[in-house]
Amino acid sequence: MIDPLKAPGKIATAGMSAQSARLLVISENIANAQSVGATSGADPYSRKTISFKSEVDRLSGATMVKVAQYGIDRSPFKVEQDPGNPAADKDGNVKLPNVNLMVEMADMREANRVYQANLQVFRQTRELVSMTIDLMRT
Amino acid sequence: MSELRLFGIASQQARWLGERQTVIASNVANASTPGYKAKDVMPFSSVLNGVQSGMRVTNSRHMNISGGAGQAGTTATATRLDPTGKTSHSGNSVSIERELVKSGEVKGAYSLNTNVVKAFHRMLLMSVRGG
Repeated sequence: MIDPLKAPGKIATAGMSAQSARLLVISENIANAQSVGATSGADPYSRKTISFKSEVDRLSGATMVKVAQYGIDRSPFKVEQDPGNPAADKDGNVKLPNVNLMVEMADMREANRVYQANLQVFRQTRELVSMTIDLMRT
Repeated sequence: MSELRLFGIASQQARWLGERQTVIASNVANASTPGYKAKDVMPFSSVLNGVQSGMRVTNSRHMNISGGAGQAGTTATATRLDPTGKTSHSGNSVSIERELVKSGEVKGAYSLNTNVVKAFHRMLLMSVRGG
């Protein structure tokens, strides 16, 4: 069993890195919200997804979090009529990515909120440690 | 020297608070894990009464895994599922607000604990020095 005041810092760090991985995926999606295919009629960028799973750390017995898997959203692409686009097929239709900016923004806010909560736990734990150290100066 | 048990009780409570903070950190880290259920530790009163929810030694040939009565501070605190949790659509029952409130409680209790230990230590030193 690890020191109970060291484990929360590690867990909060794991939580923060999981949320940063999520933010990375979200920013990829937003950046590629208009990325069409390279050739005529080719598929555009597909939205990426991420999911987490909890994992018991054998050394400390604490429940950490890690990235379970990255996935690809298989929902249908948006189709627009735009014959001037280089990615348009012979009927003039262009397939656009299945990225919904509203969904990505909502997801980003949630990732941000969970990141901040993890940071708060980290700070709180640091204060507990410094209170313990303060016992020595009387 | 029965009043000197205060140090023992204080360190036991500090340990319990540390473990509670660990459980809170796990809950917050898993706030977006599908199917994760929020946990909490058993209340401190059950630790103080020595009522551990682990296995009890009822036969002399059993292994004593609870560490014996003399070193109650070394036993691991049992965790339970948080009874107040509301499960969301993804099967996750963590509420970040509730966890942060609990974390604030832990901080307050820890501050009280260390201050009491400090005061008691000062009293002890005073009696040794003779004023």
